[in-house]
Amino acid sequence: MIKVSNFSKKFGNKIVHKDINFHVRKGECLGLIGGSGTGKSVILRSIIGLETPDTGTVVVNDQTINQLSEIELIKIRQKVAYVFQGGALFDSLNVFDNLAYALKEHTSLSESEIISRIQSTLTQFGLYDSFNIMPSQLSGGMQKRVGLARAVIMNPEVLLYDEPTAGLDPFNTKRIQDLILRLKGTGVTSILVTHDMPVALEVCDRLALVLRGEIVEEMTPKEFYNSPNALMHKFIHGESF
Amino acid sequence: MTDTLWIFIGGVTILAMQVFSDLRRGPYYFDLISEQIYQIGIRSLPLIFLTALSIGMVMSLQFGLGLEKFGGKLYVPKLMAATIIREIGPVFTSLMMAARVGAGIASEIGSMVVTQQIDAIKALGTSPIRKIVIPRVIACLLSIPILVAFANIVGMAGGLIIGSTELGLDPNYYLLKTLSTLSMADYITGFFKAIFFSLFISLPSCYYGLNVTDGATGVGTATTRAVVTSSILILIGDFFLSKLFWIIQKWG
Repeated sequence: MIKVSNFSKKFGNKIVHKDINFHVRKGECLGLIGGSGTGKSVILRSIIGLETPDTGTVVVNDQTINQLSEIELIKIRQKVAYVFQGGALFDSLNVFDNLAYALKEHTSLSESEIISRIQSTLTQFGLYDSFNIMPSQLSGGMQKRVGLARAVIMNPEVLLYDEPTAGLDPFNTKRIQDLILRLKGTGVTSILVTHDMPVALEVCDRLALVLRGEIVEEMTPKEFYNSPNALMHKFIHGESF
Repeated sequence: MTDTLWIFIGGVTILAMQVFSDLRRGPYYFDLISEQIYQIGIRSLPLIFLTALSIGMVMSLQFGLGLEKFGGKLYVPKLMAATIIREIGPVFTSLMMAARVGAGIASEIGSMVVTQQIDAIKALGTSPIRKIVIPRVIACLLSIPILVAFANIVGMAGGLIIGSTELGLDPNYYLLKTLSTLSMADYITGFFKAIFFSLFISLPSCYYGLNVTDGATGVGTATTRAVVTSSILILIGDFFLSKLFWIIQKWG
């Protein structure tokens, strides 16, 4: 479903990734973990074509993303959704219009069908009374949930989560975690970039530790937690590498 | 400095090519275009009215005071009409628009970049060129020539007020001289200048907005650069366009 091979990327003189290789099978959830600034989000952004690798390939559904034009990417992006860290809601549009954005753009649904789809999605995400609220009036947790709702409203095949629980209180973290688990249950393939180890251990099928521009370990959450590898141990317990 | 200039020229050229290529293909977002026409055009009317009126009044006063010494006060309407239609109207209106609209476009798009809204537009399978840049470019192309025409009328009205009240010129004489001085070529020159100036404002402002880095500081820098670059392009472009139209008129 998703295959990243020999991926390298540098910004200016700073080498962010030297040689990243991983794959995600259909319906699977891969957790990308690692310290801040290790370029996990860069990998995620490359999967949807928001960044281009310097070398290597990013393949999604048998299509090499880094060889596609912007117009070809538009079609891919209808099936691959990205959940931004801060929600990235359009601040000039209310919650309804934020959710209606992709539906109006890519579907031929009538106005009433769009309203009903948005109503049911907002209800699922516990936001049924937020229809006309502007993003600036929402709390951080609500913004993240609206961002997640906007990402899933087109029923994507792939979901890319960029730190969906960062900065949230335990209650909202649990809420987002449950939503991710529910979406995973529908068979969506996903990649979760996070620092939140309890969420990663709960949600992901496999975890990959990104360090110094490479994936140094890749294993199941159980193996990860019980790993004798000192790096894993240090990461879980918040010690310096 | 040279690198920055080449990067800017290259970046704006690529952006212009993307805009014209997407313009041929569509889809067209008429609701976004009309919203931008309101923001860029209609909301600029009070500013353009005030500046055009005061410039027209000041120019008329200065021409009157200067020419009075040589007994040339009667030439004020002719001078005013030619200067406003050919130069002052398009240039001053565009400079005011560069300050108001150029800054607005760069800071709005820059803030959208910082808050990842531009990335979200792409991630949702749409194009920021079509959704953000094209509506602003079209709104500028449609609004600025109309604002220039409006500024011309208001500026000349300002001149007429001073001409009749301060310089003692007959209003009918003033109007007659104004209209008889102007030719179709003057209107066309002013109109085409306004079209070019619209592009000099909208494209660099969108370019700087889309290329914001460094968060809030970057937004500030992009805004300043957009206004300065647009203003310089308008002033330098005005010389070359005046020269070009002068050559064309000579041939004609």
